[in-house]
Amino acid sequence: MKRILVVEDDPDIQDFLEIFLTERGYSLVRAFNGQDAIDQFGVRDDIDLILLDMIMPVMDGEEFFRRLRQDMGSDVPVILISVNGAAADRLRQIGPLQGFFRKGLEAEELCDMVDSILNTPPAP
Amino acid sequence: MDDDRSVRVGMDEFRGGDFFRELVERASDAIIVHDTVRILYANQSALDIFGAGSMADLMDREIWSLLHPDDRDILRLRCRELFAGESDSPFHSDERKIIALDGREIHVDGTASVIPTGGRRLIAVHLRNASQRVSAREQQQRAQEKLEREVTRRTAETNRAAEELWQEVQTRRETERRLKESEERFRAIFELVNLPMTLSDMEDGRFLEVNSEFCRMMGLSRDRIIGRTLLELQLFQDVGKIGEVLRVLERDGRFTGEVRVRTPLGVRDFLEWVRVLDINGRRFLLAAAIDVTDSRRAEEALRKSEDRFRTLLGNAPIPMSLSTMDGVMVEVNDEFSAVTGYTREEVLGRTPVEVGLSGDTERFQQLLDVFAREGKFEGEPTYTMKNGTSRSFVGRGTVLRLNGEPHILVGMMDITERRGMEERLRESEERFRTLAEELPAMVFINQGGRVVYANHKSVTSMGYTMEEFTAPGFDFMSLIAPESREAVRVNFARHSRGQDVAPYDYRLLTRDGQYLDAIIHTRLISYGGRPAILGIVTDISELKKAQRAVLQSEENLRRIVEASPLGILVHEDGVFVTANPASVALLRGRSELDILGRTVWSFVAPDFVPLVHDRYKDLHQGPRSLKAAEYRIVLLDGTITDVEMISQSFPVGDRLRVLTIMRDISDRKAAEQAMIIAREVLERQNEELRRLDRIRETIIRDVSHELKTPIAKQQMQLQLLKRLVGSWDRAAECETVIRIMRESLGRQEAAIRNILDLAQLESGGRQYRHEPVSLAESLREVLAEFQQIFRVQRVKVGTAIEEVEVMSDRQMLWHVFSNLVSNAVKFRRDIGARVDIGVTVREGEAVISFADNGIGLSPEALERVFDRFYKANPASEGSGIGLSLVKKVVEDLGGRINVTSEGERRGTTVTVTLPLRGRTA
Repeated sequence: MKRILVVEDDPDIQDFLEIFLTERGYSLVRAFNGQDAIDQFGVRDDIDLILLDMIMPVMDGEEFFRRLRQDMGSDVPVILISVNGAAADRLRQIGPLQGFFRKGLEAEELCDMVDSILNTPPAP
Repeated sequence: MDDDRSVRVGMDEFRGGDFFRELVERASDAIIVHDTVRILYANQSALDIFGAGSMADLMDREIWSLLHPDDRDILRLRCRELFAGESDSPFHSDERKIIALDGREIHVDGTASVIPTGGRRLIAVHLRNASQRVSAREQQQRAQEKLEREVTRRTAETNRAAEELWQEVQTRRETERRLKESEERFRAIFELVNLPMTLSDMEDGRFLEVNSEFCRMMGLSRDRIIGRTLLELQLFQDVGKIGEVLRVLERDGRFTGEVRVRTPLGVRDFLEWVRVLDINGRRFLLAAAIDVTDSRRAEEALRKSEDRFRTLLGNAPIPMSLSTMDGVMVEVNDEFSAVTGYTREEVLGRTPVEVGLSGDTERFQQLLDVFAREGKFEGEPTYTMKNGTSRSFVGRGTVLRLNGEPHILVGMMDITERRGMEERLRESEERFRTLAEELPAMVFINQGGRVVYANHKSVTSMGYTMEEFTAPGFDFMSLIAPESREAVRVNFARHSRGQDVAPYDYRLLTRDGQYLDAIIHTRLISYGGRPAILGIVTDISELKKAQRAVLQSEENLRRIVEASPLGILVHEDGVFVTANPASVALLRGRSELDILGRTVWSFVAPDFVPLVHDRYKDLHQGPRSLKAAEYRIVLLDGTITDVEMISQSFPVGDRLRVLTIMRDISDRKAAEQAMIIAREVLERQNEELRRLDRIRETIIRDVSHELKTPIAKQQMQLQLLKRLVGSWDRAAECETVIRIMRESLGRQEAAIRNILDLAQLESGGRQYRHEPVSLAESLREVLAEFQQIFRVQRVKVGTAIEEVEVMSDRQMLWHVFSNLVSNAVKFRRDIGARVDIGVTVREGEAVISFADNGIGLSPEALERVFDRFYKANPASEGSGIGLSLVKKVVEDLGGRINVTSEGERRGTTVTVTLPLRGRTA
């Protein structure tokens, strides 16, 4: 089972994402900010993809992304989930970003994006 | 006895098989019963010793296989004997080796005896483990052996030491014997020699041994001498001689020479013979001496007499020779060698003919005859010198007696010089005249106020003939211009007193009244045996003219230097020798006197000393120019200022001077400093602006987050709600509600996005890119996005897109196109809606048009179409901000946007024009 780390400070949005992603057969690991995500990512090696929010307390998405790509040298796929499209441009200047999902759009789109990145065959 | 009885009683009491069986089983000895081949019984101890787990491991095993091969044959033989009844008494055997089942070898003591049983004879063997004893013994043996080896080694060592000692003693004895012999021999020689001899220690000079001849000679007893030194005994006349002799001994190891020694018979001379003996690193002096005093004195008297003669001969200022009556030279003096070129060694023992001085044997013989006959001679012979030249002499000779023998003493005077003199005089005169006549200067000789000689140049320059010059009544003062006559008279008087006069300038007056500037060099000479003045007069009229011109030019130059606004300084060896008024002012001096005599270094600011030093060195390598350099200097009033200097070194005589041109650049430096400060201020301001920028960006981001996130969440919740209502009865109605809510939220979201985008663009928060963008590609992407919408809303799309590339911002263009397409769809006509999109190049610009056949715009609406929040139809969806945003972007990208419409319901055309090469400032 593919595992997705959701880095998002709003538990409602986490719940929302979980409903759709588990339906597609993914298992979710939750982190509530960048630092939390680093701690989780540091101790486990079974994360297949990261859904990353931008504005979070303690450590925001941009800083997390910088550490992930530059300090830790990880190339695990990341999809930015944000209300703000400009954030994606900023992240792309730091390192490869595999996708951007505008919050509020159809969750199925996000699921399709995840499927295609993880090469999961489309649901029947 | 008691024990025997009790056993017997016990035997009776316990007679029966079980008891004995138990006894055997429990015995600490291993007991094995065999029939000489196979083991039939073994007790527990036997199992233990062989390492068997149970009886089964040993039963029926061949007994011999358990014995060590070394012991196997003898024990088998003994057992067979026992078995065959050849012997009934048990046999005992110690320290045999058995082999346990695991292969270990174990020493045992054993006893075998025959047990008759049921008509067959069996052998019972008792074994006791002896390995501990054996190994203890072996250990002991090993220790013993080691000890023995040690003892043997020690003994051998001791023997060897004793042997060596004995050898040593023998050697020493032999050495002692030989030493004694040697000493005796030495002493015998020492005593028997009829010469005074001594042996002393070279290091401290103390006498170790002296012979009786020495004692006799010195008038001292042996005891007085031994252990003392020459100095202590005050034997040497000349103390310094001791050091000299020691130096020779150090160097050569031997000395032979004369020494003067004080003896009871008076001071005597000895021919001393000393040798250094090096014996085992200790050095001794062996000395012998011969008294040569008497013979020396006779020799000396003779030598003194001869010395006097030889001294006379040697010091004579003329060549002299002493010969035998046969003409063989026995002595010549230094002058002889100097004149003839032959050394003493080359001539002594030979006749002048043999040497080659005289070529005529016959005449030489006649000369000898004259000496023999008359005892003297006088004449003018000519001899050939070693270098081949012939010289003439006046010779006088006499016969005298030397050591009782007649000798010829000859003295000669070289007259070659005299003979050549006249010739040389003629040559010299000729040389002088030739030179004087050839010179481009006037040459004359004045003797006693009369011109006695004047050269050709004098004649031509002055206009007088030679005869007129040298006429007795000619007044040479008439040649001198009146203003120079006094100077000439003074110098002439000096000459008359025999003083030399340095060259001086004066003016000549020619016969035809012309004045000539001249410089005269004079020299006192002897002419015809009387003093005269040689004058060389150089016409410097032309030079003077040039000099005047130069002076004028120099004066001009000086004026320029004086007037120059640049500081001009000249220094020699680092000391200023010239300073113009500008440099004085620049250095804050009152007059040039404040600067002249000061060194360059007194003005250089400490930081700049190395730089100035380098340039100074460079300048003094030879004449050269250095590029301008900036220094900081310390002015006379102590202030520090910046100057720019150009320096050039040039030779003056044999020295180098340095010309430095200096310019005050403190104003420029101050301006530079001000600029640096201004730049820093600007940078700080810039930094502050960047900081504010970052704050603003953060605010925009936070605001947009705060505005957008709730909407996004509502949208998500609606998605969930939609899923939840899927099973309800009135799901259809719910879904309609949800759809409306979602559409509303979508518009709100788009509006906020547009507002925020515009805010960001207007605040300059977004930097435009400048990259190549393919318009066709960009439009295709936009159309692809709208593909589904076109289908759903039944909008037909026509394209006439040329491949055009512009320098622009790909993302912002996407935004513009997307907005315009969206508008075309939004304001479409209900049936037969159509959008035509075109791209072309016109007049060097890219023109992108979006023409729809939709609801169109009224003229009023057309005027306000770009106003922010303006909506032609207030009920229409959208924020009314899209077009104003588009206009802003297009203009920022250096383009124009134009909207036309024929009126309401007659469609709208939006035309965007972009520069191909992008925005130009």
